[in-house]
Amino acid sequence: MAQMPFRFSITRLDVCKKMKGESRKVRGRSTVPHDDSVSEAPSNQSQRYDDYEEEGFRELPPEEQRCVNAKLFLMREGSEVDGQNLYNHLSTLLTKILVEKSDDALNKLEDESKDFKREKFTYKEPFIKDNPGRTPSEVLAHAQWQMMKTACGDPKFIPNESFDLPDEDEEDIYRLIPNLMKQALFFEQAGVGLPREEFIRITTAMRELVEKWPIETLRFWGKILGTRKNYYVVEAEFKDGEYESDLSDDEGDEDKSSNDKIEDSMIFDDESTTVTDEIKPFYKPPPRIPCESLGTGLNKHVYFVCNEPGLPWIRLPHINPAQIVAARKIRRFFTGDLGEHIVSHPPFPGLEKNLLRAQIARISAATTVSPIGYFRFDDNEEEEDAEESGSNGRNTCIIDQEFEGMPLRDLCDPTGQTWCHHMQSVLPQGRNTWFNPMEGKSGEGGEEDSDEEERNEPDEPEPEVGPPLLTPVSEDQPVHDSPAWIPRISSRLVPEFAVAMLQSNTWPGSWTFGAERGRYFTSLYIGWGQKNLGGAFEPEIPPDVMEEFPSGPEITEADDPSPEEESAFKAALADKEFDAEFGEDQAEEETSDVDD
Amino acid sequence: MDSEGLHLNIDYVGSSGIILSPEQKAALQTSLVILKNSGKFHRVYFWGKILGVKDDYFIAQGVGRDEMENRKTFYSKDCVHWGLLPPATKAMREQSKLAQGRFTGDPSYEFEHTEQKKSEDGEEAGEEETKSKMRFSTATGELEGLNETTITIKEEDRLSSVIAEIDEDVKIVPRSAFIKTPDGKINANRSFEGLSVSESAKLCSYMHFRDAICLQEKSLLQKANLDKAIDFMDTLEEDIPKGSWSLQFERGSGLVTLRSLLWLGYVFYHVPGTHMYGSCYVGNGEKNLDLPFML
Repeated sequence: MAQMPFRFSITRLDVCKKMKGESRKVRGRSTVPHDDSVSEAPSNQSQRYDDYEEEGFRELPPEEQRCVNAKLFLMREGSEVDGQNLYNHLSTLLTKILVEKSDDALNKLEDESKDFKREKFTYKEPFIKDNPGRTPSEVLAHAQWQMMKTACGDPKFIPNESFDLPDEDEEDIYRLIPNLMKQALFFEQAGVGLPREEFIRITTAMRELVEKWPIETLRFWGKILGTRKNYYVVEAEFKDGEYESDLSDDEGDEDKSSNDKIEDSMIFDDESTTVTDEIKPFYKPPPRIPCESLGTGLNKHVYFVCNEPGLPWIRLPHINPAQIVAARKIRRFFTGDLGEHIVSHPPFPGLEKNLLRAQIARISAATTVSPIGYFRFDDNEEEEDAEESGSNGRNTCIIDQEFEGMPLRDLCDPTGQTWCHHMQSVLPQGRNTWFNPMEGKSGEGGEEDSDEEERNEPDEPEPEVGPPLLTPVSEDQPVHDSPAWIPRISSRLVPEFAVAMLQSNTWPGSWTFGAERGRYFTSLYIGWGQKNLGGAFEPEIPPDVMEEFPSGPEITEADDPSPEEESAFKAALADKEFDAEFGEDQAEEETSDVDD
Repeated sequence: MDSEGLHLNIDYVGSSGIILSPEQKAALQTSLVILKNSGKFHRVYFWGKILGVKDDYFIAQGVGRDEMENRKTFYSKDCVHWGLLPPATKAMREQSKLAQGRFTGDPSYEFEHTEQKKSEDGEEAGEEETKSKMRFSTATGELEGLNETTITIKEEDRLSSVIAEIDEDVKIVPRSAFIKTPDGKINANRSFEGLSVSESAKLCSYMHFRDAICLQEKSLLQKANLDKAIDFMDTLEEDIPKGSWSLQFERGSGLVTLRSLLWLGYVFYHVPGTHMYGSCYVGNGEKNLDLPFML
């Protein structure tokens, strides 16, 4: 509504004249009430000012003065800068009322006043807008979107074009990725696993692995929870001959081992002590057990981890037996950072990635199971191979093509006799096959001292034997009166189409299901990566304090002799000398006598 | 977590490995509604699952208007039939700590705990050996001049005590989700809009849903900044040992998950900026006493 400068005075309404040069003609309102006297007065006043400038203000009659004061007050601008003052507001309000001439004017007065005020309010946008930066969810979303984008391909791709679909016979590396959705379906039936969207993300993320690495088989191993971040773990087997090409972590291991050696030798060959060579310490560090050759034993599988699907996969280093042995003695949560130091007793030889690899190796060896009959020993295996595998028996097995499966009731057998391990167990030494440290000694030769013969173990250590491959899980050690494995059926309402679930008690969080009469099965681990000890954790007690040196006469402190003893000793010595001299003299005398 | 919308909210704790099969979801949706009506509860919560050897227990809790006072706990093995658990008294809780091993899955099972006191020729009971056996028979060990006391603990009582202990130790809610009225009643805050992303990253924005223990020991100076209607519970910052909670953001910052390391299997989730939050326990029902070694 245009601002219509209707001027009015509080006292009376008159026909108008212009005020300050503004005038607007309103249609149909020729008789615009304007205040004559007020409009005239200032002009008169201004004239008078010009005339009587030096004489000061001319006094107005009191009524007019009051009127002018009131009007000026009304026209005083408010605190806002937009030029809104009371006078204009009231004039527009009354104009609207008079224009509308409604019956309800009194009731609507406040509302209309508010509306006017609200319309006047303008919000000025600041020209500089905030840049909130990328929130962590955006960063993650971008990483995952990137991953999905490369998997999706061209957005203009029309899936109905048959020549673009992957050919079934083709050597498609993406076929190595397991059908995680099918597995997710079975796991979900038992109330285990991760939400299906996560499985999809993991499947898409696995594409990066098959593109980069020469992989033969691939399996989603599971998820390990950590205190700050989590790990998604994927198990892979490289193609034959490819293990040697991957030497990324060997350098690190060598550096560490050489450091250890230097430290050991420095403690004991300290030249600042004045100790004779006869006194040597008894301590000999335990023999270093080498890990098996790459591609066999515990290092048969290679593991990749990432914190979130979409982030790059990191290959975990190979495992060596010392790390397994140390991992058995400590109990730690994972933090989620692979490079985190492990401060523990006994000291763990490695970073968190080594501990993670060790735990994964232990869990895999203990919980990879299959229905009995699915795997069998290879009868065509040559005799040499059988001997090489040592006293542990066979260490490889192949899929039995003639496996007929077994009914669901057998798979859910509560004693666990229908499932067996198909991965070798880990010996106390930390390997899958026994390594005789004595054999290794003769080969190393030159570094060792002759003190080797003084060792307290003159006999060869007993070879350690683990349970043979393909033993049923009922033979596993129970955990404090509870069985090691708990088979269940997945559904109560629909038992005809249920699957068998096997839950591990030694490693809580490890689940295996068997479907389609046992022909389709896989395992998954979701947990913290800790073993169920069946009781409280008992940390290793520090070993006995080493004696410094064997006590002997050379280093035993003797008391200084007291003055009496010294004088007595001297006297005895003097006597001896005297006797010796005397004896000689006597002898001389005798001889001289003889001469005479 | 709340039984209404359970089938949707269970997705929030899925990344910790807690999922319900479609069959369980369907059964819970119907049976919890019936439970709510029959017990005349204001709300029914799906508390979680306790895994046993032969069978798992599903636990639900029904609460009245004041959520701290009237809590009734129910258990079920198949999500269809629910049974009321006896409330846990202090004596029951003390006894249940003596039972070791996993839950069997049979509510009428009895754990046995024998204490032996040796008395040698006038010396008073110098040594105590404690052995706990899990057997169906009630035969005890040898009696060679030993004074033995055998305590039997029913699995139902043990279940109830474990649930009460978990609630007391680790049940948490976001700050300002509950309001204490001047007459002492605790009500849900209807205008709870959720924590902001920065607030949800701090442990002090979460509070234990139980009567305050550490709060009374605070000095007046520390209490000066607290709001009596909101800060009437202990925050997580005072938990011992430090680091017994794992706070993680899933989906970038779209979901914050807290996992307890003291009771492995307790998961709390909250969507920052909204009023969605809840918690669930799926585990063995065993306290992680090795926690100080593991951090």
